[in-house]
Amino acid sequence: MTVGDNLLIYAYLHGVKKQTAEERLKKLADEFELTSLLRDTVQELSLGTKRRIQVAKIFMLDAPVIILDEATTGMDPLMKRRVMDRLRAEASNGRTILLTTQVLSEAEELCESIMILDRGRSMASGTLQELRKLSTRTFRVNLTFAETNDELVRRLQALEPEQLQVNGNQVEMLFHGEEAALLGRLADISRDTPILQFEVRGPTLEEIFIALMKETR
Amino acid sequence: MTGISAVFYRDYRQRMTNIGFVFWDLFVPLAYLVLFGLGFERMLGQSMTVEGQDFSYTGFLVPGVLGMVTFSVAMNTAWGFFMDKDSGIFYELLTYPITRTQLLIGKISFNVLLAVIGSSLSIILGALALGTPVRWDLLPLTLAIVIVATASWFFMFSVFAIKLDRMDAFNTVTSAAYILLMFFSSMFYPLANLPAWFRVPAYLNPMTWQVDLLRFSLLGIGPPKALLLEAIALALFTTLCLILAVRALNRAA
Repeated sequence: MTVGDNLLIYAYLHGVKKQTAEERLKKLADEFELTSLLRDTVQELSLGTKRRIQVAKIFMLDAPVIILDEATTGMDPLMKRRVMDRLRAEASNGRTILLTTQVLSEAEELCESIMILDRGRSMASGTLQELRKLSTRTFRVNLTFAETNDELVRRLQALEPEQLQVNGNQVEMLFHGEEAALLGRLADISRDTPILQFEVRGPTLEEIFIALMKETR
Repeated sequence: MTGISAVFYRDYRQRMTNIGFVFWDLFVPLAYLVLFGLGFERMLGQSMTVEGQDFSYTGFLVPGVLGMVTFSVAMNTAWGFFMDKDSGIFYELLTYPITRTQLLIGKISFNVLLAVIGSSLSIILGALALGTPVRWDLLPLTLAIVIVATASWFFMFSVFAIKLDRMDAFNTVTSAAYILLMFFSSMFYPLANLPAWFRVPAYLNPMTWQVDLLRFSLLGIGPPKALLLEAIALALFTTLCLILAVRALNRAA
C-alpha cells in the first residue's frame, strides 16, 4: 500500500472520520516531510522512512496514551529532533507517552518518569533526579586547566577515573567513589597546574544504567 | 468509516496497489475460458453430451471458470492475510478497535465483490463472445453460490494463513490445494466417465459440489437429489471452515 493509504486507513480503522483523517494527513505529511512520498509504496522505502511513517501514524489519532517502541531508530538527527519536539509538545498538551528505548540520552531528555528494565525486571524507577540519587558515588568532573601536558595526564590517570577524556585544555572524567577524597587530590594537582574552571555534576542516565548493571550482575 | 468498511477499503487499496493480484483474480480465469476452452472445444468437436444434453466445451467450462474465480480470489486474499501476519500488521490489526467479526466480514465482503465481478465478466464474455448458454433466470442463484463458495475458500485459506508461519509452507499448501482441488473435481471434465479411484476423491471435493451447483444454475443440468446433497455439503463445509477460521483467529490473538 502507499504511504498515504497507510496513514489514512490506520485512522479509518480507529474510527476517525474521512475528512478529519485527510486534514490530519496533510498536516502530518508536511511535518514529517512525507508529502512527496504519499504515493510511494511503503515496502520500497528505507528503514528510517518507514519508522517516520510509523511515528506519523500515531498522530493520526487522538489517543490519550501513546506507546512508542524505539521511535527514532534509523532517523536522521534533524528528523529525530523534530519527533522529540513533537513528543514533548504532545506531553505538555496532556497526552501520556510511554517510550521504550535503548537510547538513554533520549529518555533522559524526554521522560518525566523513567523505569530501567533488565531482562524483564524493574531495576530502578523514578524521575531522573531520583535515579541520580541511586548512584551518588558516580559523578562526572569537568576541568579546564591553564595548560595540559603528559605529566598532568599521568597524574589524572593516577586518580583512577572510569573514563578520562582530554580535549585541549579541557578534561572530562567519570568517577565512581568518594567525592571529598577526590577533591583533596585535585587540589594537590592544581598547585602545580592551575585549574581555571571546575564542575562536578551527576551521572547521565547511561552511567546510572551501567552502574546499576554492575551492581546486579 | 465503520470497522467493516475500513477493512473493506484497506483490502481494496491493498489489491489495487498490486496489479498482479487483479490479473490473477480476474484475467487468468478468463484466459482459461478463452484459451483452454477453445483449445479443447476444437479437439473434442463442436459439442459434447452431458446428462443427455449437448453443450460446447466452453459452455461446459464456464461454471468451472466461476469456481476458479472464487478459488483464486480467496487464495489471493488469504495471501494478503499471510503477508499481514508475516510483517506483524496482522497482530497490530488485532489491537485496533475493531472486532474479529468485523475484520472477517470486511475481508469477505471485498472478496465476494471481486468474485462477483470476476464471475459476471466470465458469464458475459462466455455468452457474448463464445455463445455459451446461460440461465439468466437463475442468475441470482449463480451469484449466491459464488458468494458462499468464495467465503468458504477464504475461510479455509485463512486457517492456513493464520496457522502457518513459513512463507514456503504456505505457498506449498496453497499450490497443492490449487492443483488437487481443481483437477480432482468436475471443473474441467464430467466425472461420469472417469475411473473409480478418480471419482471417489472428486465427489468428496467441495470444488465439485460448487461447480456442479453452478452447472445447474447456469446450464440447468444435474440430478436434483445429488445437487441437494451437494448444496447441504457445501453449506456444512462453509460452516466448518468459518468455525475453524474464527478459532484460528482467536488463538492467534
